Amino acid sequence: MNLKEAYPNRVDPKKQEPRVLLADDHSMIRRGLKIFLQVNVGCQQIGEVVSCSDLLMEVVKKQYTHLILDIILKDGNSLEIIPSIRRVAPDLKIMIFSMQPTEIYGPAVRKYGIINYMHKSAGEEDMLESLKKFLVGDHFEVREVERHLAYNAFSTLAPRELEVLHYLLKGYGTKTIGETLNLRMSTISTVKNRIFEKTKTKNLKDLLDLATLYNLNF
Amino acid sequence: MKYLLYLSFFFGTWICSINLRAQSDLGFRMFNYTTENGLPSNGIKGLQWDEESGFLWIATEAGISRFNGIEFANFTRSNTSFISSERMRFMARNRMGGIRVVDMDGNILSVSKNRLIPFFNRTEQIGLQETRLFGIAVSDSFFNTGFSQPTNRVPFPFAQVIPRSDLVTILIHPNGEVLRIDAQNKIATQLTELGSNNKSGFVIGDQVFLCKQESGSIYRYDEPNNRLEQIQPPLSIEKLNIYWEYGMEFPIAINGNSAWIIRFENNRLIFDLICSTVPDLGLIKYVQYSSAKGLLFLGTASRGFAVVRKNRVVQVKRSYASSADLSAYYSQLELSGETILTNEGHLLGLKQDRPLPPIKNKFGYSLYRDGDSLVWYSGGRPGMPNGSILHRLNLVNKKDVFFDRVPIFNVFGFARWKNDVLIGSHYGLGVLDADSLRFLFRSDPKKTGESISFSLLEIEPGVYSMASCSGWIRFDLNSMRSDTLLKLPGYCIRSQVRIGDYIFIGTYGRGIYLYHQGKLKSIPLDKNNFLLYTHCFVPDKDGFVWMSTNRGVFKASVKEMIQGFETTNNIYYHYYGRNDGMDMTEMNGGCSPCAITLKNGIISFPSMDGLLWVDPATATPLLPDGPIHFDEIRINNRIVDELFFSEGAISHSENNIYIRLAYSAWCNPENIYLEYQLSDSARWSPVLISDGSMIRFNNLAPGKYDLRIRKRNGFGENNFSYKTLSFSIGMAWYNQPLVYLFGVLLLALSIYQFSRYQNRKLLKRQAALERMVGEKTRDLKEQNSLLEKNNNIKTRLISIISHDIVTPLKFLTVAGRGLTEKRDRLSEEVQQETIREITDTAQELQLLSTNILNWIKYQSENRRLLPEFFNPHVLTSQVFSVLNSLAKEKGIVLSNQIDPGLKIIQYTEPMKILIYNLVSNSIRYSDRGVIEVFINKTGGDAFVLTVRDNGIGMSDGKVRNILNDDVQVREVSAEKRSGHGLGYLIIKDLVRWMNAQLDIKSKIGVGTEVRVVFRSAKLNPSEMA
Repeated sequence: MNLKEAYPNRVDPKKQEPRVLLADDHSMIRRGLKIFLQVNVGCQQIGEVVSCSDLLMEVVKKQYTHLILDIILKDGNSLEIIPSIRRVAPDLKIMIFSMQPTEIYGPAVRKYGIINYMHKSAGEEDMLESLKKFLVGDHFEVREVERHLAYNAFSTLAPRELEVLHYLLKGYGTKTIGETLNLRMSTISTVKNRIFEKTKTKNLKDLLDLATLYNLNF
Repeated sequence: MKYLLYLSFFFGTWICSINLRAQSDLGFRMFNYTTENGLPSNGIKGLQWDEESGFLWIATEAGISRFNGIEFANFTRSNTSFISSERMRFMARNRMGGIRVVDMDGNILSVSKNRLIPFFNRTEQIGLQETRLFGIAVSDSFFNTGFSQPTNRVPFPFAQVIPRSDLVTILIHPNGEVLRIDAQNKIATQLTELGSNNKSGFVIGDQVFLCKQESGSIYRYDEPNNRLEQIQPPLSIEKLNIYWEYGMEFPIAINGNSAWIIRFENNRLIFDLICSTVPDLGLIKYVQYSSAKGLLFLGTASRGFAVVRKNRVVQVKRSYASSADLSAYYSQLELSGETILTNEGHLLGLKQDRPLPPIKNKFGYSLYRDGDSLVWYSGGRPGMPNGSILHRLNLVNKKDVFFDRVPIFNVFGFARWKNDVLIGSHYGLGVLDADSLRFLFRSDPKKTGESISFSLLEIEPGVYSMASCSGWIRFDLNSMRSDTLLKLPGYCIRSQVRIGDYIFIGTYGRGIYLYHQGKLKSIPLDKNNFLLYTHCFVPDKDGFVWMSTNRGVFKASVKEMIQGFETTNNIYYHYYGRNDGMDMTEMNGGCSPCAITLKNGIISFPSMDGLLWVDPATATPLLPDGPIHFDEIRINNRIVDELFFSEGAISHSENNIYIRLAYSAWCNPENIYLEYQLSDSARWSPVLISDGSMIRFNNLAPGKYDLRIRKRNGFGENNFSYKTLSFSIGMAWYNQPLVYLFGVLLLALSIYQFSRYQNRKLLKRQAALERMVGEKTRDLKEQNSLLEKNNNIKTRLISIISHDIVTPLKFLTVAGRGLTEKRDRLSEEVQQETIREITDTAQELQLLSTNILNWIKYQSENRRLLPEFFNPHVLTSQVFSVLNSLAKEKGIVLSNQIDPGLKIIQYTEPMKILIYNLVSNSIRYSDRGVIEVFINKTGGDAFVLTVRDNGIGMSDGKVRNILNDDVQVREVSAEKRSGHGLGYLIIKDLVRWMNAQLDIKSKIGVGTEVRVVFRSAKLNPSEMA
């Protein structure tokens, strides 16, 4: 079944067949999702990237209509490049497909206008439903996202804070994070303190424990 | 011993004394001293009286003795080191005034105050020196000239020397010849003009006299003209023995029992009789006389020596004694002719003519003269002589009236009150009214026995005091009041007398009291407390008062006694006793009068045996004057010199000091008041004669001391002879300030050292603790770090499991379901790729899971493993069998280069995991080539495990990161090139656990060589078996 078969009334025949780019650092996930899209949705134009740099180049190089994006890629957090993607491909529809909790990253990506957020632990039927709606342009994701927006200690973190949090949880130092994000150390320190303040933690260990409790992958 | 000597002295004097009672004078007493009294020998070889020191020096055949009147100090070989022969040859006083003693060996000793000192130690042959010795009797310089008497002469002392100058002497030879010897010119000239029949010679003043043998004539030697002038002596000298030695003031002549001083006045010889009681002691060889003390010393050839003393008092007794008569007297009545009528009715006196007694019978203890003619006394009734009735005797008309209605006792008090007669008795005090007594004060009838009254005395107008056994009672007849001023329960007040403004009160057992202006107080007594029993006081016209006691008579200055009353000063009481002429020293009291002063001034005391008459004018006291000498000083029984004693510090450990004093004691011992005072002590302590006049100090504290000794010289305030001696007791070494300082320093040092030691110990302990704490802290940090790391790893593992296992498995399922359910919708190529992807993913998941399991297993079980003996080649082959399919898939050859015969002792499972991880790492990062595994022995028990590949290699930074401790575990990469880091984490833990060393050499594009250097472990003993 393809999209036309799934949503015969909602798919515009004039529209082009969606060209989907899968951005995930795990080959088996990409492979599994690709087969899922091919056999269940009927998408045949599916590209793959594993890193942020490949993603940007692939978006510029090819005209993809949809981007299924994992937050954590091989070379970094994809939040860093979403603004750039938005600039080079303003029409590109983006859906976050991640193991990261929706309630944490959902509000952050919405600031970039991304309203489609699918958790990797979602069941195949939900996943299929979500992918179909994403690919036909429905905004079901809003409802889905809202549904998952329960408050937790990390919910109030801004995108920049989530970027820094990612590296902090990976064990990077302030200097390394600054170099990685091309930011000054003082800025990193300020952000770091704000993270501690918002999450009501005192140190990295507390932060790590809290992140583990909230299933925050890094 | 000294005490025994003291006793024997008195005993000896008692048995040797001869009653020389004389009718016309006080008489003399002779005391003969022999070896029984302490003399070394009865063979006297010389006597010398030293007036200055008051000592009599006696040379004997067994040593030299010094006699002070009480005791002998003998100098013999046993106590005097420089005496070589105790047998003395002669003793002489020469012109220097020095007393020299020559022993039989010819050694010469010299008297120095109280001591003997060596003068000349004879070293030559006796024969050569024999004739030289006479020179010492002339002068020391004469002796020192070495001039010898002509050898044909009989040597001194058989000849007599009459020194004329220091170097010239006249020598009268026993054969009668007279020589003049000039030592300066070494000339001995016979004075032929003086004849050859000279018996002896003497000197009076500057005149030399010679006694001729045949005629008994005395000639004065006209020395300038070398001729003789006969002097007629007042006595025939035929039987006279004239004694003279150089130093004697006068020669002494003795004939029979008489002794005279020979004086030369107005060209005549005068013989003054000393005594006529010279005892018969055999041959008297030496005579000395002290005119100052009235002592005559007689030295005999074989019977010791004698001292003749002049009596001071006289005992008056009846010329005959009857066993029926009592010789103890109490009340006395002086009659004419110095005759005393005693209460026994006896007439006593020194004169033969005696009046008839006015009282025919015995009478009581009280008898009072009332004016010139009346006598009141207690007596018996006619026919009952033993009664106690008041009598009034008129001495003029001899009329004796008795008052049998007046109650009195044997003793009573009598006084005149205006024109009335006051009678005091145990019944009270009353006025004689006609023939009876009108009582003014009556005694308590129950206590009449205690109220024996001895005397009445008007102490103020109309105020009378009564001495009684009830006390000293004051009766004021003006106010008719009575007061007991002095009450001594158990003791009677027996006498009272007014002397000046003071009332002297004598008690029987409680001493003497004085009363003055309402003040009544006892005064100090004699040292023996004989005056505790004072019978009565008799003042004389010279300001002295005479007191009789049970133990002799005392004379004291009234002024001193009053001073003693006012200030408690010591009083000198001069004692008269047996040495002064008493046969009986117990006087009687409790009578009135207890003593009377005769018209001639003699005081008559009643005694237990006759009367004792004392003439204050002639009873000159032999006073205890004279200097004090240190006779012997001993420290811990070691005799030391006085100079040494006073100048050297006495060791604190030799602190038993004995100082024996020497002094002249020709008076009665009772009169010697010898006391000492040490340093600033206000108290004077007595030195006991009976203890040998010894002062003892034991264990004196260290310091300087001034010992002051004083001896009463007689009457008068502060009339003492003093002697002082300063000495010091050394401080014990442990009491020295320096020792204290040293001790303090030592203590401080010890404390310092101890503190330092303790501090060091504490520091060591602290360091050890700090070390332990450090180690523990380090361990804790390590453990904490490990825990933290493990915690991080676990956290990461959670993420890894979620990200790299769960999610891929989900999509592996999705892919698998896609392949199986909708294969037709997939191209063949996609299917193949998907299958390959599933296979790779499954293999990745296997490796990852294995690593996770190994890590978990290692974390929990590593400590329980034991070393095993195994073949590493086989072990590596087993690892290869697991990894071979993966390697082959990538075209990689696994090469086991380990010696098949090699066996090592190590932990098998960790080693297997180690090789597995190293090889799987190499496979992961290699696409071709060969992966080789080596284990080589590098020496001893060291081995090197090497895994080498031809893979992509690593940069130096990555190698450093791997070797660093903070290696990160991360999720697997999409390209499968970057692992999780878990493999190296396990490798490093195993390397550390095996005490091995990890080394990585890698080059990008060339390959990597990992070396693990480890040592063979030791087998468990059970496994070895």
